[in-house]
Amino acid sequence: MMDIQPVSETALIIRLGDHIDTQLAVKTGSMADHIRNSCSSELIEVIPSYTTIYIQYHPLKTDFFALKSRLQGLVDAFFLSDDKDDRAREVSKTITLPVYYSLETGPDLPEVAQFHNRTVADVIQIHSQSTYVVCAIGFSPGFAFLGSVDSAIATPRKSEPRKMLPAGSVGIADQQTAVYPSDSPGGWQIIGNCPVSLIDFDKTPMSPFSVGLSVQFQPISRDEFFALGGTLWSHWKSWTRG
Amino acid sequence: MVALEVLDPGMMTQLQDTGRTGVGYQGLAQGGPMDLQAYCWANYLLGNRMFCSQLEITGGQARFLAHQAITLALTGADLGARVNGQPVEGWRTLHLNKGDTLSFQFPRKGLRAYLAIPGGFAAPAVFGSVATVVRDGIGGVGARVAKEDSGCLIKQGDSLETVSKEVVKPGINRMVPARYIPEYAGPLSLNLMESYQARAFSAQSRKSLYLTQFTLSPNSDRMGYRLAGAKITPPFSGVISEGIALGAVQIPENGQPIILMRDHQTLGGYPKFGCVAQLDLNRLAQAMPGTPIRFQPISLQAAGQKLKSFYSFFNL
Repeated sequence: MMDIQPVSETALIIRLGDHIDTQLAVKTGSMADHIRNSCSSELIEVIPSYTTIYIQYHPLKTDFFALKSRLQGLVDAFFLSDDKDDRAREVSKTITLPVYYSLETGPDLPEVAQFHNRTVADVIQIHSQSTYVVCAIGFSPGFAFLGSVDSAIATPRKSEPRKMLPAGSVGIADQQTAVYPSDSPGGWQIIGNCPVSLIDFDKTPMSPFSVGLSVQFQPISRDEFFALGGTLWSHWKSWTRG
Repeated sequence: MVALEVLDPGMMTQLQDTGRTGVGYQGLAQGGPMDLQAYCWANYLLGNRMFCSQLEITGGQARFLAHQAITLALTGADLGARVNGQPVEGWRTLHLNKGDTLSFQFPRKGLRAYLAIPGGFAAPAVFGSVATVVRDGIGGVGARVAKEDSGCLIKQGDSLETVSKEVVKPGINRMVPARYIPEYAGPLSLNLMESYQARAFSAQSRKSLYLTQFTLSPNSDRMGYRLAGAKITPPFSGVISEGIALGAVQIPENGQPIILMRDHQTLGGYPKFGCVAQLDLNRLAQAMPGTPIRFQPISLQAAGQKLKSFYSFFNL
């Protein structure tokens, strides 16, 4: 399916599906890149997310109807082009992120384990053996929504969000997982910490994530965590309730 | 070159330009002036390009000391501006001499005033913009001094430097013609374009959205303006997270609409009924809590035409 609808005087949305599916997210992400590269002058934002591509355009450089027919052509050509497979390979590249899964960096490990009647070791093993796909980036700069968490450990958000979490916290919310790139409030179940910096406004790109990218988590030891620049956070208790 | 020293930033003063665009796909909010119309007039009065940064002074009670002679433009809310204690009018250019104090009292009409100088204020651009977005920790003059001050509000003791060396324009004495100065007091009627999930709302919900007189909640900020009034029942509690447009009208489960403003998040999962016309957001940004607010339908074409004229006039 493909449907293009206006949302405001300067924006439209392309809908490519109506349910969450990581393969569709890969397609959405690469199509968004293609659109961003193909008509940069009149487009202000191109934001893919799960099943949609949101586009903000400059009102003096184009209009909804001109853009709609242009986008339809681009999307058709994208699906018909011979190098479609190359493009799919390109976007299916994988990054591996080190994670120190532990009670001192992941205070919700026991809650997640208990929720499924499993051990903490099971939770770590199941979380780190899957390959995830970036389905959307938002909430805060560089925050990537990764799907899909194995239903054996998928756990609802905490009933009360924490007022502050340290950067690098790895969380689970239902079938999604993510790494908080910066210190932030958050309600996800925290199971570990990734010591690698995931957002830097001085770098281009500022974040390693893009919609459609594959992500794996590699469990690391306490020593490796410190060697990679990880630091422990002493405020879990004091910031938990507020 | 230091133009102004901040003696008191008042309730909230931020550095803003036309906003940080093109990086929404990485989760960055655009920011930008809450009242783009007043902002544009301030740059226009000085002959500045529209991206030249300004101070957005919210709620007044701010004080600045001129470290050199400088020409300014002041637009937006009437916050009781004074130079050396003498009241001055807004929507015009002003000249300060070295040692003069520019101060603001409490809001009289509107909430946010805009202060422009020739060429704008100096600050390190990040992704092409100096716009302050506190939540994202980006923008503002602080980052010039220390990286951890990135995304901070203007604070007491800040030295506000100029981009241009020529900040005195002795020949300039301009004012905005009275017919272009908006009236910030009184109830608001916001033009609304139906889009997003509008068709999924029941006829009853749609009707009450247009018939209800809402009031602006004090729980409103640069991200979103919350309205209180009749409950508008959303057709479902959530949608798959999707890109959010400026002015989008979200209807969460409590049925109280939220209008998304300049610092809005890039993605959201609440059902949305449509978008408020962008030009109407300027006036909304000046409204005090408790202001009565109604919605009226407008077509995309009509709203688009008005926005185009605005963009053409100010060369945005």
